[in-house]
Amino acid sequence: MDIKRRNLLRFAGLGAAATAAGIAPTLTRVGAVEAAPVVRKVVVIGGGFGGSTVAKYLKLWGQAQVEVTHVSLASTYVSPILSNLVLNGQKSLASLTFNLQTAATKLGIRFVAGSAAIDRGARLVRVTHDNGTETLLDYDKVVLSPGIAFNTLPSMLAANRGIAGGKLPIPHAWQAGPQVGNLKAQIDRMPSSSGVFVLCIPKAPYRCPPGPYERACVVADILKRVKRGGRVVIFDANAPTNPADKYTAIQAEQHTFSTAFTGAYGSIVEYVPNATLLEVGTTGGQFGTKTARVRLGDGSVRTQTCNVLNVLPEHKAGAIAFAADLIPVGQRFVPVDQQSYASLADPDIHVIGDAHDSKQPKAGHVANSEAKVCADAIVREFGILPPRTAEEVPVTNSACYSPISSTTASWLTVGFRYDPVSRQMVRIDASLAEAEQPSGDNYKMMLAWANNLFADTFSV
Amino acid sequence: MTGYRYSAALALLALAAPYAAADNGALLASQCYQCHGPNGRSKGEIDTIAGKSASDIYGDMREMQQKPDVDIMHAQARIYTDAELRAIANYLATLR
Ligand SMILES: Cc1cc2nc3c(=O)[nH]c(=O)nc-3n(C[C@H](O)[C@H](O)[C@H](O)COP(=O)(O)OP(=O)(O)OC[C@H]3O[C@@H](n4cnc5c(N)ncnc54)[C@H](O)[C@@H]3O)c2cc1C
Ligand code: HEC
Repeated sequence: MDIKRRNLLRFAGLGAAATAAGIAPTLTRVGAVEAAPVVRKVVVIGGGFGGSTVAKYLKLWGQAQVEVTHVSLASTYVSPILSNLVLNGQKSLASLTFNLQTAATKLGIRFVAGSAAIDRGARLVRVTHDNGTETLLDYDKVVLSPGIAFNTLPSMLAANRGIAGGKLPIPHAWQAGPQVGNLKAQIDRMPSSSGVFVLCIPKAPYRCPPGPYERACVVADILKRVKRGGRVVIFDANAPTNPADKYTAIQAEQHTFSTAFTGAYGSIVEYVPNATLLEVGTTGGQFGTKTARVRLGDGSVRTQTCNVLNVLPEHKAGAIAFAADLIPVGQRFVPVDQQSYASLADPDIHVIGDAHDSKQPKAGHVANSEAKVCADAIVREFGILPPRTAEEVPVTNSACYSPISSTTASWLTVGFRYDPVSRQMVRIDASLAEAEQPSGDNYKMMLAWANNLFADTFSV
Repeated sequence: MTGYRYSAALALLALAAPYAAADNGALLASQCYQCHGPNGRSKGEIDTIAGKSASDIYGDMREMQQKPDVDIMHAQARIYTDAELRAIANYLATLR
């Protein structure tokens, strides 16, 4: 009852704001609200794992009482999950591409392609289309899942300036798309037995904790199997937790990856923790020679020449979160109420996935999980479902499967539960587990998991 | 309603079992779908969990929760409280 009244008041406010902004409000029947069912408008921004899932479940659980508009840069989305298998030719980018327009039609929601910006004052989302035209969307709630952006070194910006993603000399390939095809082409062109691949890993938090080590394994497997030799040098900006064991700098599945780096790939992989990237250089473009200059833990500087330089720059939330002023100065991700993902700066803008700040990893499976908690919270706030009881506490789960070779994979999983005292999603230690060793069975399960995750997220 | 054509979509969503009553079984069960497929119907090798009886699902989950096996599903089972497992099992059993 209270909730209903609050929403009515809010609607009166919305009508006024929209009128003040000179926009014809579509929902100003405040006087008639008792009779007509209220339809709440939610604009979801981002077509990745967080955004696509929240758009679906808002509609599923809100039914006709929630009008969902899904906005993303393009009408297709390419999954970073499984994209390391593009490098060894086991997956194509096309097989990891999902059509957001088709999904929207299936779900009964509206899809709009373009670049979104939020005008919090006017309560409007402004979408700029490729052809320069704009669409204005008013909202009761925005859910933002814009993923990541990077703090890129000036020398890397300079080396890549003006060049398309498919041909960059120094790709990150950490958002799927042309850069992944580029990285594959560069690996394909590495000489047999003597090529050098350098991978630079940023300080945590970054997207997919095991992801960089997984990539190192897939590349080492290609060098071993196809090129009959070569090296993978990993410069990891993270520091070991135990100074006597450098592999304790590895950010996930330490057992699996240290075993791979010292065992199966012992003659290929060199793992260097505490390595801060200072500068990069290139001669000869995409397939030319590259250099990476790093400062090591002992203060010395090392310069490494290589055929392929794959730099994952420091991460931050997607630009729209900064533009909407949701991030305090000096921080890189959006602080949220971790029960509902409402931004602490604006309760009507919810932020999920890689862009928000919590102890949950920045990963696609858990972004799907967070999206469901967020959709549930919004539907309850709208009064469509009753408020959560004290026992109905948000619970999420994360899972990563990592290819270790062309036939084996490992996995990592963990759950999180909302703790009302610290007001954070806290790791459930008993649920933390990782594969005892890579196996062919895990490889099969990885593909089965991804198919179900894709089906749940992208309605395929 | 302001503009969209819901008819076909709503029929589809109705089949997809909307929220039941006032417990959070639907939300909790949706946290199984990443691995077991939308509405618990798997596309491939991982088991379909929709349509089993509540007592079967609850029994399986309790057993996995208590065994020390290192596999992904045993770890998953350890996430949930007993009350949550009951809510999940009851909800999944409605997805025939
Ligand atoms: C190699 C690799 C392997 C991985 N493996 C796993 C794994 O095994 N398990 C796992 O859980 N995760 C994995 N991940 C991580 C996972 O891909 C990401 O964490 C996930 O994609 C994050 O989802 P998101 O919704 O936050 O952002 P994204 O998926 O990046 O989606 C953001 C979307 O928003 C759009 N967007 C951004 N700003 C705007 C704007 N202003 N207007 C319109 N649209 C906008 C973008 O174009 C993009 O489509 C892996 C990642 C990599 C790179
Ligand atoms: C991270 C992925 C993942 C999640 C999330 C997950 N499962 Fe599973 N589950 C699996 C896998 C993989 C198997 C198959 C285990 C095997 O064959 O070794 C499985 C097996 C099962 C089984 C046993 C089926 C049988 O007949 O033996 C049940 C029951 C089950 N899951 C229920 C659930 C429920 C309920 C949830 C949600 C609360 C859930 N699972 C969430 C991965 C997952």
